[in-house]
Amino acid sequence: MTIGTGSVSTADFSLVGRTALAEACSIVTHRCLEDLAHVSAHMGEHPWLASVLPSLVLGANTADELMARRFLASLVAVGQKLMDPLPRHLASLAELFAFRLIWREALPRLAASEPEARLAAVSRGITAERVDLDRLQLLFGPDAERWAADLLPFEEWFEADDERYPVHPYVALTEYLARGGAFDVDDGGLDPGLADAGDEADA
Amino acid sequence: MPINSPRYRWSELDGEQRAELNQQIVDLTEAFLDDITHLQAGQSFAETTLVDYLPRQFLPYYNLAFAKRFLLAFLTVTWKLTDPEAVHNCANQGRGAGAVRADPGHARRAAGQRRRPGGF
Repeated sequence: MTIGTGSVSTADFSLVGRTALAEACSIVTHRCLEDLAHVSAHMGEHPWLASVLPSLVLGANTADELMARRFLASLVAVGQKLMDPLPRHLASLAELFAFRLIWREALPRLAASEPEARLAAVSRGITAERVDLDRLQLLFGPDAERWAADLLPFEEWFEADDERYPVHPYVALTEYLARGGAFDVDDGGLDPGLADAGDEADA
Repeated sequence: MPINSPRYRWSELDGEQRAELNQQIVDLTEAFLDDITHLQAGQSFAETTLVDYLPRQFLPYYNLAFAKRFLLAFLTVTWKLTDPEAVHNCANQGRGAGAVRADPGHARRAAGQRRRPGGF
């Protein structure tokens, strides 16, 4: 999945639009961080995260500290990609969820500053094989159960779709922990594409 | 200050170097996130892991808001360090990158003290 295409991306937004996007990114990241900071007061729960991810598939995982931390790292990676003038790839379903939050936060201001056609083109540019922003939205509607069947299993939300486009290193390196396994810091513990992708980029 | 270059990429590091960097990325991220939870609960900044990676003379200025911003800078730097798609410039995250390169033994000890049962 990509943010933008070869012909249109968030870099085509006006200064007001790009500022709105940057501020939306900051706001959403701040909320996620607040959720993590107050985890003790919330008895281990992450109420903000629970409110923005589909409740149907999130289930009991709102108390999963590691998931919340990995989602924060995903948000940071998406924020960086959004500010890049070149089209960038969203690496995982978690990153698509993170993008959706930022996009929704920025949309009211973007709607005022950007032509509708440009917004629609960028929105359509967020593509993937099995899911896009429109289908993601269905997970928050009345027929969520029906659409959730098509979604990746929860355990795979943070995994890279394509080894050429790795997830945030903290997310990649904690994959084994998330699956309840032993931690391995060797390259085997990292997304397989991370070590090789540099070579490909240099070629 | 550039991170990565067309010639020197993540893949230029040997296995041992990458393993060390990987370990620090996880250990320090966990430690800094723990710091934020503890600061929120009222712990003083002088008791954090973060303070070991920052100039002591500015200690009176460090607070929870600073810790959050530093963590985000740190996460940004670690993303840039391993991003295969671009050569990045490090804006004001130099201190964050410094933390990754700093004494690995200390980082591991600090994170190890907070290890959760069944964790790494």
